[in-house]
Amino acid sequence: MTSSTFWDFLPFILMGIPVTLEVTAMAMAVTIAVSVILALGRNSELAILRWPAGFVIELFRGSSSLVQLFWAFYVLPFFGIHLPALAAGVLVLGLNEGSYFSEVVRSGLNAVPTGQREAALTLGLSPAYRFFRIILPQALPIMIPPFGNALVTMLKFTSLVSLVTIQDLSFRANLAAASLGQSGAVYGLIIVIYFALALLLAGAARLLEQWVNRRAGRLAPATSGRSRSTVPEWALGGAG
Amino acid sequence: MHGRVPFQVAAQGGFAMKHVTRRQVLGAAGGLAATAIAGPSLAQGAGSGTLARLQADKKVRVGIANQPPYSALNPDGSITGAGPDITKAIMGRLGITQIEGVTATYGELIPGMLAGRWDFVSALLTITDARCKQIRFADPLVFDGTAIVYLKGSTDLAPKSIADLAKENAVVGLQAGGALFRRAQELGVKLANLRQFTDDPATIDGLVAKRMQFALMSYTPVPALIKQRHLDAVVVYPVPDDPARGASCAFRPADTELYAAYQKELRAMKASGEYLKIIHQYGFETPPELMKVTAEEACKGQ
Amino acid sequence: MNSAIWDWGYAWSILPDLLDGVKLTIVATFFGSLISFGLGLVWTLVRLARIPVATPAVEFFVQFVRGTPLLVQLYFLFFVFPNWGLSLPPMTTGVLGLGIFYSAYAAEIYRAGIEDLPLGQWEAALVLSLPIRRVWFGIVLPQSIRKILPVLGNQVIGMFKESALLSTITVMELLGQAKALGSLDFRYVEPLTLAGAIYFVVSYVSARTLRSWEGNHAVGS
Repeated sequence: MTSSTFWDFLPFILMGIPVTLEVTAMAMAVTIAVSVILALGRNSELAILRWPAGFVIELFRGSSSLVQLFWAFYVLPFFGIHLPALAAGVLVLGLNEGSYFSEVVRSGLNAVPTGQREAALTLGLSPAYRFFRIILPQALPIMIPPFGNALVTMLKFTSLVSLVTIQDLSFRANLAAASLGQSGAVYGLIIVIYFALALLLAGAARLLEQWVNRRAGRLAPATSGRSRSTVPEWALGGAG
Repeated sequence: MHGRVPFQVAAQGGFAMKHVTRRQVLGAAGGLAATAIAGPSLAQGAGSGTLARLQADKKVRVGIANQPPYSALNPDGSITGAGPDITKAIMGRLGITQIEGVTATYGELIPGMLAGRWDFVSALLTITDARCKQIRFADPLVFDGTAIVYLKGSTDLAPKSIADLAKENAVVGLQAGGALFRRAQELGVKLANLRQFTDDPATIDGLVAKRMQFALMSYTPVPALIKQRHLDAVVVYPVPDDPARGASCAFRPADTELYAAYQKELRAMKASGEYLKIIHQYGFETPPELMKVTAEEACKGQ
Repeated sequence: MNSAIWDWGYAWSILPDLLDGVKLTIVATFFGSLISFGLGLVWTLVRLARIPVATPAVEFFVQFVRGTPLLVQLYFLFFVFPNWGLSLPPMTTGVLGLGIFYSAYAAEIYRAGIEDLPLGQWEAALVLSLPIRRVWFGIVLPQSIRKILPVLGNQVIGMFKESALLSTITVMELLGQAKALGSLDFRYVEPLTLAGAIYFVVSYVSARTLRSWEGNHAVGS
């Protein structure tokens, strides 16, 4: 076997970036779908929809996501469900994040003035139309800042799929570090890459927020997420 | 205030986003349903189907661990090492041209295979009677024993066997999920004194990081690892209470045809000299008296 | 080969080993939480004090820790630090990793708690001409912290579940035990399912308990 250098492994490591981003994107798609479905379920008047939704939320929020990943990978097949590794990873991540995010969606939906719903009802609009074209667009601006957080959280979350054979950034780093005996350079590199990707995604989320706010006809808040500090100046330290 | 705006907003942007995700969810759900229906057979390897399926697809998925020179993943994604190279040769003779290697830790290789994650294990697993009860090994591909490794000057002890390590209550590092894990405890090393690592490179790194004084590892990778990390190490080999054992690829018990085909080609390669050529590349040697050892004999040899 | 999917005998036999793992999980969560609360408070105070070099450094550090995966941070502490001379036992490394990661979140929680303080409190302190330290340590912090205790409690529960990551740096906590057992007997079904159930039961019960405490304390304050 030829001995390799760090530079031999560099392309291999960097090829983890598209994989990580791909997993992030797919898992976020699942997150969005799951969170909307669960939020609607929990808001429903029918107990038969409320209870399963509540159960799913409690189940995924209440258990360890890493254990869920291993379980989906190694145990599910014995129950007849053979998900490809990527599907298993994306589904577990999406269900987890979706369960948490469903609370955000609920707050967003509940923040829409009831007047809107009533007006839509009086106009005789179909439930789908009511939801997608009237309620959801008004709920969106409230949901976007937490969505940005969820996006960055998901990016970090995807590192777990390296433990179920998916060759993302963390997986490739592990392999390279073991094969080279140089863990410092390798892990140092990917931690910087993850941070850069996180900044990128956070920036993209902020752009999305501005776009949604513009569309909704409201001015974008001056600073998203960071409300003006109520701590008076005289109580803070510093050179002024 | 908000009243009039939403109609326009929805018409332009909001709806489109929801549409895409709905389709994706439906698509994923459909895929899930399809695999669930096709599912039950794969979890234990539905016996006869496997070889036929592999030959029809001309593709096989094998599980390996990143453990040069037994098996390893290259930066370009291809698999290499004694086990994979022999597998590639045999698969080629069976008409299966595409080999996909999935990398996992040793402890995950057998459970993963039994769960249908890969078709068989092409890493070299030590043949132990405990494993023989669960899976089928091919005839031994390599023979390797355990070595005790420690850094010069790091200890006053000079252990010559695993029993010595147990007696001295020493802290020992080894690979998680390997045969050594069980053997060390059988020989008296306390579980509390064991440090488990994901693979041999990590074990050596643990030694360097002074997480333990002694490492127990398979002998063959050791010289290369020591050289690569420029270590001044003492290697005790052979170790009397853990002599050299065979290691080989592993198959599901139900995959009888695949197993038989693999064995047949392997024995042909041993006879033709091709087998020796491959393992010599990686620094292994199988002496003539061990060439004819079968899997059954290796299993009993514990 | 036992072809049944679930073997109750086997499941029962591995339970003691799994519970050994739970002990480590609890220890890791406990000390990790202590570190995260303490460090988090330090970060918050440094930020509010606006010390010239320290504050921007802390700001960056907190952003960095929040913006990178816990898994990679653990690898860094476990594999890289020894090369720089700091080789800690796996458990210590894990506790430190958890503590530092969650301290960044705790800092945000403290900040939210402080900013949530009614303006009246600040005005009263100003009127009474109290020294700055008295304002912070006597009035603001105690009230803020009491208010955010439920959130911190949730963080502890989160850490309990995330402690499963410590299995990747060779700590034999619950998941580590489950995987070791699974590889010894080649059956992952029982160990992983039992481990999952234990995580769920503990965190669900804790979360419900926390919510009921929250309910009791919300009134009057």
